[in-house]
Amino acid sequence: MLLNRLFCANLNTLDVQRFFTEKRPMKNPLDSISGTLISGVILTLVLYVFLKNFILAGV
Amino acid sequence: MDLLPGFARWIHVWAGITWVGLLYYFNFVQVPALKDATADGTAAGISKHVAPRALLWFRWAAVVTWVAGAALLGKAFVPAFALQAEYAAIGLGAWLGTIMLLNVWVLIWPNQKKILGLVPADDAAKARARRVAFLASRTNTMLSVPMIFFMTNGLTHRAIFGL
Repeated sequence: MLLNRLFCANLNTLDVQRFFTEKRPMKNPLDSISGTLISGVILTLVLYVFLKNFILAGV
Repeated sequence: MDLLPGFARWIHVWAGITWVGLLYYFNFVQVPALKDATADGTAAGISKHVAPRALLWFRWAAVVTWVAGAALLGKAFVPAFALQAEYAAIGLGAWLGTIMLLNVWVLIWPNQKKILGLVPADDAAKARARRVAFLASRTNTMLSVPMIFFMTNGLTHRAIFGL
């Protein structure tokens, strides 16, 4: 809704201000099982890249 | 003492299955079931008879898994936790397992005691404990994914890491 307003022709300063200041509820991925497992897979990839390129670099 | 690593590996895997199996039971079965059971008024049975037993096996299996894992590492314990070259991958798994163990004893179990009424807590404290225990349990489920990857590949499939 706000995004639509942000990109529409009748944009005014108040809309922009509201878009960046309005509090929208943020979802925690750990609240769902699928979010938890996807987070786990992403963390695995991040740690793998970290290990291979930083800890084991040059070994 | 060639027998020690063999026994340590056996106990480590055995206890690890119990620990992570119960962790998945809590997250994939008990938490969603409790939600439904609360709605139809049958949650008391789970909270009174199932959860305390599951938590007993869960928290002590975590300790046995860690101790057997430490014994299995043996002289490689310090190099693994220091993430030294050839032990870096198993060391990362060991760090993740250690964080999970601390989560069990520092966050999950003390808060579960409040939720189950084993220690006195008012309704607000119970609600807070429920959220903390839930998130700590979900964090452990998330951490179990990379932990199992690095544990299963860390020493035996090191080519994955270019070693």
